[in-house]
Amino acid sequence: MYTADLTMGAEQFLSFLSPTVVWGFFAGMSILLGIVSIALIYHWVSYSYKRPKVIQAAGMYIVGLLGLLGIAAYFTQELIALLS
Amino acid sequence: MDTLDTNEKVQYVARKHWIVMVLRMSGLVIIAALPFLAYHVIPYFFAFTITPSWELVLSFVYTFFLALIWMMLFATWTDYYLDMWLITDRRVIDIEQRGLFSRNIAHVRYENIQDVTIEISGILNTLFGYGVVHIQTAGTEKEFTMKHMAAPHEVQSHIMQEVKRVHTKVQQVHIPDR
Repeated sequence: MYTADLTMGAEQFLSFLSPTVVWGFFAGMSILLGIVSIALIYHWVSYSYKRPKVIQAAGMYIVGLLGLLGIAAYFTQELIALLS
Repeated sequence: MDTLDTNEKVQYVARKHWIVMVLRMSGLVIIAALPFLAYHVIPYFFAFTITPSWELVLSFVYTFFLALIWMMLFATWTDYYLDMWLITDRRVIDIEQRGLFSRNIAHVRYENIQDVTIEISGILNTLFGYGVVHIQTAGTEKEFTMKHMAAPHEVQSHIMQEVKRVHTKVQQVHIPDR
């Protein structure tokens, strides 16, 4: 069995991170996801033929995305707490 | 929907079979699951220490990765859902969504339709009942084709019904008075 110790790698990697970098990454990703989400929802509303299906899809999409961003926000806070 | 003329009614909406979307999405689902599986399977073959801080960093990155995959899943659904043929009372409108920022719309009036043929070949096509529908026209664009069309026989039948109705109407108008 191959044994590897990643503890040294983790410490080196974490030394490059700071709360600003972590928050910046979170904000950047959120903005990117937000922009593409607006484009997606715009397409559904403008071009689809049946509204009920669009509303269902948009609802599912927004709930899923917000859920994942919520989890990401939690890990962001935990990471910042670790770095502080 | 601004593609339709005033008083134009949509009789039937034809789309690709859902299996096409599912096959594309399954690739994304597998990619999403790979890091999770790797995290749980690799320790059986390699013994390595992951500190809590590494776990936190990996979880942080993985969550954003999942958010991107979630977005790509819905982009795939958008591509599938907005690709359609609208069979109206005047014409067939071929709407082709290419990704998010590209859309191609073409139409053919029933007066210009010469023939509608369907082609179902392959195991999946036969089992799930989807295939290629070709519309041969007398217009500038000689042929309209949609691959992986769901219920191709129904699509053919709807179009031919409208073509027959329009041609009958045209013949009635052209019968000279005696």
